Amino acid sequence: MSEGSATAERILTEEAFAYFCTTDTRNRPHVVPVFFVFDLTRCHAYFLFSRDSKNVRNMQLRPKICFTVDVRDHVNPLENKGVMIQGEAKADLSNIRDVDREYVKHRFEEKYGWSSSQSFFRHEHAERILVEVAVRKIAYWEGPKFLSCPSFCMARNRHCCGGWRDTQR
Amino acid sequence: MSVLQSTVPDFPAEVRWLLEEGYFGYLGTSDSHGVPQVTPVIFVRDGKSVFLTISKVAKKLRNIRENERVAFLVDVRDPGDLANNRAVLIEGRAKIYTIFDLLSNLRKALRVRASLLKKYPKYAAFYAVKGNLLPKPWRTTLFISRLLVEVRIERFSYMREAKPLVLGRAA
Repeated sequence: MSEGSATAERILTEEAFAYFCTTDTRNRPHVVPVFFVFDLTRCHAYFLFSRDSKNVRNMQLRPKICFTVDVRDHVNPLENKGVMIQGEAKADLSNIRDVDREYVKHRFEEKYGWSSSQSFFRHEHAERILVEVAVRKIAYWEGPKFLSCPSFCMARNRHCCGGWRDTQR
Repeated sequence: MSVLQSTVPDFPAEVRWLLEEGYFGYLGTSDSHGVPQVTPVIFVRDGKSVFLTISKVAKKLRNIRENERVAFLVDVRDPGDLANNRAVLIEGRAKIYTIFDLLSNLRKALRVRASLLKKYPKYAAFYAVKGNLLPKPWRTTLFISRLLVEVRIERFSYMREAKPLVLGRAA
């Protein structure tokens, strides 16, 4: 695995926030910071959103989404690194198997140190839903260097980076 | 004070602080097919607009040419408590400056340049010393490598712990 792919993998598994962008039916983008976990074996990302949020409404109508996870450097712009992923969101996971739901729940608890006694799908007064994103395209950057489709996803999921290329050129 | 600044809506103090002090913003754009993109950028606020410089080869610039609607998020993270993050989300329209636009808004453009240098002195120092060693799309020369983009704020929402608290609309 190249150094760039290894760094991209680390960013996706260790960084706390993703910046998640959806569009509404009038093609207006919407961006929010959000907690997430990235499953390298499936090349899927999982997010928690309030059920009544604008993001969820957007995703239900337009499932194409984008999210970026980055590492900021306030001194040297060459040290800014990040991964941008475009993919397809599935906001209705009612058919997800319990075993999968438990697996994702465990991954969130592990990453963020949440107690398993806390209600995972409720946050204060808002009901949270799990959103799954199937990755279609990945770009990693480190300063001015760019790497498309880091090898970890290409190797593990041949569908990764397989879609949307025409619209991105 | 310019006319532009005098028509600025009175942003709540927290929003104003985020727009002044926030170091990075996340620009969400989408192409004419509705395929979104979000990337980090540096920025300054000037009145009821935020200004960015974007590489001429960037996909987000092509997106803006196809669809001027953008979202722009600035946040501050609390390293001691991940849930205690604060953010402002701006929704607005982006305008890419041509040379004519720049000349006809020269005072504003100079003010924006001064604000960028003041806000990002370490980046400015880096580019002054090493800028010529970078690939052309990464250099900072306006119109050669980058274009000035103004995002006119139409609406903003302030979020704390990922919950919207304040909604506003620019005057």
